[in-house]
Amino acid sequence: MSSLEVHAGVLGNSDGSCLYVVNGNKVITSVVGPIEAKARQELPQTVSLEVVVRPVTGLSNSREKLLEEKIRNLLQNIIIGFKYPRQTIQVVVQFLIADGRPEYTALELNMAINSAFYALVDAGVAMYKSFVSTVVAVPPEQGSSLIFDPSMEQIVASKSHHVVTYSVEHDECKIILLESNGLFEMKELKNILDAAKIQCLTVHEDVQRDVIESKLQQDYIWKS
Amino acid sequence: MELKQTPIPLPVLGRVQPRLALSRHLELGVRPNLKTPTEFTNISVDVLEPSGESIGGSILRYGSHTRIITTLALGIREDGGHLDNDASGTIYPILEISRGRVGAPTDEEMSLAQKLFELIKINKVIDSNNLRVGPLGTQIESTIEYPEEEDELQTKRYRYVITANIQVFGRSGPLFDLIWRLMMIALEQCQLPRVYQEANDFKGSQMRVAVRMRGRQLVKEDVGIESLKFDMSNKIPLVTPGSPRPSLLLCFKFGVFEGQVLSDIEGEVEELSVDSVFYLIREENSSVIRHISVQGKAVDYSHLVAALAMSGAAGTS
Repeated sequence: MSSLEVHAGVLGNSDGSCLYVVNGNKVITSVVGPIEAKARQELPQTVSLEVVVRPVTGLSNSREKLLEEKIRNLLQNIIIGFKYPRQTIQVVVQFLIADGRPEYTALELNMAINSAFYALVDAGVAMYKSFVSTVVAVPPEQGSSLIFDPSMEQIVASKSHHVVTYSVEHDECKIILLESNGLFEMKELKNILDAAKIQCLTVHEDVQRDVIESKLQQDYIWKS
Repeated sequence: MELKQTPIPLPVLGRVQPRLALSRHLELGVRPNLKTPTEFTNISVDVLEPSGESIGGSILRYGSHTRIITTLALGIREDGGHLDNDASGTIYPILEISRGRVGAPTDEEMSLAQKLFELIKINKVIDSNNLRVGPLGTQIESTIEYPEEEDELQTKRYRYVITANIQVFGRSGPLFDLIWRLMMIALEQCQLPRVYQEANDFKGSQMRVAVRMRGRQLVKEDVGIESLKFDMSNKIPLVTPGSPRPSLLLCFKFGVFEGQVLSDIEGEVEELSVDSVFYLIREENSSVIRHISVQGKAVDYSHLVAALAMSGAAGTS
């Protein structure tokens, strides 16, 4: 089982934030908004979403642009946009420690999606559903069990690896993002998706609920 | 006063209410671009002959409007030693979608180029060993001689760097599948020129490093990258015979609209209306899948199975 730490509300000057640490990799995500949109960003009927991904070192390049696009496409379907017409929500994902290689972005994508969820909850942004992401690696050895939250070495050596994001609503799960790479067949993918679904539901029940409950207790601590 | 019903032409409805337009079309069993829900648009790809500084390329024709051209250019860099021990190589794409304006690359252009870079490497399309520059030749007068083995005195090793310049004209929908097909055929036909240095580099007062004779060959102990030249008359294929052919990796795009899978989504109405878009890369004549990327509201396993079946039919046709 991977080591996981989630700390919501760690940044004082943003509306929502989250420090997400998994297997030694670390990301901090902030959410600012809903705020007034710039004239060119303004959408009359829905919210405009700005996602910025910053690497551990150096400046963002096309690698981060592709990550931004994947995260933005996912969040656009999750955030209830019509509640915030003519407004902007800004999501900034800053990687602090990332076990990454130029062509493998699975771990970073997974961390960014999960941390964005906690940061959006912390900011009180309305969402249609919860969502949970997980990374699954299939070892090259026949009959080996699936590896959840693998290390970069395990991903590189794997037969295939998959980033699966499920939306969760009353125990009903739907795939909202899937990035599969490697060699696999449809039957294998079915097993992987089923296993990922169980993993996502477990994280939703055991981690997401706890974090949200403790955040609410902190927010209303003056009541007790 | 009598109110008359105003008929709205379908192209106008498509712009005002794209989802409604698509829904109405699908009720009739046809899509706004007049394809059936499982139909793929014809694609033809021609290989471009190397010319000038290009070492290859291809041109893709998709439907009646979309044309994509790629040209491959070559460079050389020093080998990174243990940093270059990956089994697979890649290319560096620069992509431009012509929209009648100039300026910085758009997000779509950057994302497509990056995705191509990543997937070529992850799918091991190019064997990293094939990007190693072989034994350097030496030009003596009008002939270039190549040693059979690399000279052990040559401490520096070099690698080819392939840059792909991709121009898209007449974009009519998501592009990645088209760019992938175009690039696989260009890479399959690509040939890398051997590398040599001129004998003049060894002579007279310009000589910078020790040179000695071995057999009938001049040997330079350490070669500067600036003195290397491509021998366009002596080439080796990038994809060696017997290794997997890149063009057998087929890429398809699909959309999901109200639970129905639509193949090869095309046109503004479909692009704006579909709930989810996904790409699938599979091996031809095999059930092995290499890549799936899904983004959207709600996709389930049955959609992926339906897409795979459609891609199988399209791949064999």
